[in-house]
Amino acid sequence: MDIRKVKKLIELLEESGIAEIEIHEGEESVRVSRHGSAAHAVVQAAPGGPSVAPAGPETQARAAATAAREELPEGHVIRAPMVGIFYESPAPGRAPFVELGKSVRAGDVLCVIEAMKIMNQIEADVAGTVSRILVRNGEPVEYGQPLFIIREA
Amino acid sequence: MELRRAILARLSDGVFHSGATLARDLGRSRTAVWKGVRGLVGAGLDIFAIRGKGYRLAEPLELLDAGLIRDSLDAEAARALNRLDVFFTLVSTNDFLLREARPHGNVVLAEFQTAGRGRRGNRWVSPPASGICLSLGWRFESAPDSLMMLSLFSAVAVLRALQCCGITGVGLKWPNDMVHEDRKLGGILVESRGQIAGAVDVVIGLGLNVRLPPNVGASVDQPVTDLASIGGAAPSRNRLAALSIAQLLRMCRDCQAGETPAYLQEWRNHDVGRGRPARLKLPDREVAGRVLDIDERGLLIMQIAGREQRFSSGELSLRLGA
Repeated sequence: MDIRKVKKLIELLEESGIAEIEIHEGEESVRVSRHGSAAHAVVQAAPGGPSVAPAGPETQARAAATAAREELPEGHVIRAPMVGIFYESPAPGRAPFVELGKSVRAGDVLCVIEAMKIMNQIEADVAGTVSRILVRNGEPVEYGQPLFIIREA
Repeated sequence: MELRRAILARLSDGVFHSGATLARDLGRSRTAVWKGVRGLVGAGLDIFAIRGKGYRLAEPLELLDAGLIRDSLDAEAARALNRLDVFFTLVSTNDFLLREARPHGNVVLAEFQTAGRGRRGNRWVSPPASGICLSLGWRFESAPDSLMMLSLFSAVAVLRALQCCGITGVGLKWPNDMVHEDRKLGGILVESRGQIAGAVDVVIGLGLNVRLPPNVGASVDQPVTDLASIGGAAPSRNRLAALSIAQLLRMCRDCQAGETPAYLQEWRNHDVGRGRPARLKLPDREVAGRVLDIDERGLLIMQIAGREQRFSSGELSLRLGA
């Protein structure tokens, strides 16, 4: 998990007055709790497979994660323009279009989203560095779901 | 490649041509001609070579002719068409148009694709001059609601073109395979390129088997068929290409204008999956159940373990039985 996101969570916690925030993202989760005036973070990777949490708290965590992401100042968010399956490479066994830390130019293909045998090449609309990849290869994505964060050059 | 095309043009009448005559007419050595023929055979063509008589195609064939295709377009299609190119060999007609800055209204055909593509790295195999390998580019200035349906509607457009040639009885398998008695006749791969907001460039690729050499089935991983087998005589490739281009251009305009209900209904009328047991291969798993229908957004509806589920992607294989 990105250290800046953890930092942001700590800031959120301090501003809000709530005691604890826990969010899950893929196989990773982070819990930030407040003891007295100091906040400390626990980051852990789930032991394989997506983490299962009761619906209520998870939904809240998702909301918190989304809120945190919306506010992340770190870069430009590329969102899914459509419902479909996310592919990181042009075909199975081929190298991904982009990797973490790689620089991209506006117009470069970042991924393919497939729906009904329409392969949509999603292009970067800004130049910069890929600082986050938020979806895994083969996962279904929803309309408007954040896919990448690009730190603008 | 020019030599191969020239040899094929000579052989297209289906009668014997001696190596010496071909070499003289084409201004090349007999060895060069022999190598050219060997290249055509390697690409999947059925050519007899008989000592003392020369070379002959197993079946006569019709090469594509850009002028002929252009002249066969109706007035409406001719206006919508920007550019039409016919190549003997391309890596892939979709790749060719996807590389263009503005493919809108452009059509490209190839007698032979060295790396014809299907979905997710699947290959599209088609020996030279045995089918239609065609791509068409279109720019939607603002993505219409029906953009996702484009791959279904493209198949309907091709069915309409086939009907104009008197070919009926072709069915559709979700999302856009053209099939006849569960054998694949053709397929469509739509690729789009665009930024999140704004204009979307779409390339619609069509692969349609017109007359396959008898040995082609061996190199394909599913049962295939061709128009010559299902309709008696194979239709003219140039006429079929022109009709397909005209119907696809019309479909793009209808899609942009939102005039699509007829396409959805026609798709449903030709659905060969409805009510049949089927498996759907997803990126991470496979599901089995029964095909119910498609919904108004084109999603596949399946009954799986008593529950209705909808899918936007996957490879569907139908099974026999009720």
